[in-house]
Amino acid sequence: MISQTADVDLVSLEKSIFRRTLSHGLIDIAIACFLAVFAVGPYTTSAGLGDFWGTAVFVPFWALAAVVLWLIHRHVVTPRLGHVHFARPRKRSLLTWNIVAFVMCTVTFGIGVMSGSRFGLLPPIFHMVALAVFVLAGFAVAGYYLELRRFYIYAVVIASAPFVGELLWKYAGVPHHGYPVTFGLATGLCLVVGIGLLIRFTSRHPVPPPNADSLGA
Amino acid sequence: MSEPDNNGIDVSPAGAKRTGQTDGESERPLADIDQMLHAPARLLIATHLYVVDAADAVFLQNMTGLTWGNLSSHLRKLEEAGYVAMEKSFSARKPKTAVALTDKGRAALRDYRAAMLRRLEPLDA
Repeated sequence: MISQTADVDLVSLEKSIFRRTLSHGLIDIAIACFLAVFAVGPYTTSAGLGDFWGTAVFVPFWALAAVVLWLIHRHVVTPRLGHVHFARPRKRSLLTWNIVAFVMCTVTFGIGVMSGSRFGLLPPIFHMVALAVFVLAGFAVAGYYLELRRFYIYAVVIASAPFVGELLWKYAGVPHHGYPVTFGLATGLCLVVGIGLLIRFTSRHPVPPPNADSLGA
Repeated sequence: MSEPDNNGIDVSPAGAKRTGQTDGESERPLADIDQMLHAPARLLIATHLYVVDAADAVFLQNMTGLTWGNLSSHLRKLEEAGYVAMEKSFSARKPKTAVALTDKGRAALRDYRAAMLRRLEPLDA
């Protein structure tokens, strides 16, 4: 077989190429690092750090995770995958995704601030529904623009986590509204998928021989 | 004499004459097919480069699955034909080759597609 790409028409080929540039699983691991806060956060909050510091202690963790993932991308992924500059339609699509993501993050932040300032005034279900709607919408939009269909599954799993957690807390007595369990499972799912993809990526893309890219120059 | 890249099909006028086709267009049965792009490996490289702006050799090798030797040889032929432009540079003391399809290469691929469609269109009837 000459090509590893089974697609024959050019649109499918371009999509396939784009998908393969994101097949390293680092995005999934990054999502897992973010979700871990929801799983572990309740313990730091209840340990006396409060809502703000209970979350703020994770900032160094996120920074460390970002640096590690960047180093993996630079020293493991890029040498194996190579470089590509996508054509204008793809760049336009990614720009649209960035704008949509920025607007969604801003709206989510606004709702978070609003619901935080009126915590006692709004029913608890409001926060959960708001979070679920934006998680569903955010991951669906990301899945659509980044051609990552597994994001639709992540959307359902993460959006349903607060509701399932609440049920676990109410009927099974799971502490912290069940967040450590439900978000822990969501974190585990993303982490397993991400690490699995990274292992598959490294096995499918061995390091090219030295000076291979010179093409005999 | 036909080139080995033509998969054993003699596309030369002499080959056409041997098959008894001597009139007009049929004198060279595949004359309107660009032989530079008709080779599967080169067509594979060209289509991959058509849908992106540029890529390096490592990326092309990953996407096409060609061996380094094959990739290098076919890229050189495409470059000689003016279909691809290669820019060699060094990044962190390692050689890098950026490859892009030229305007001539893009036009050739479009022409090749049109020619193949013309050739194969009667199959739909």
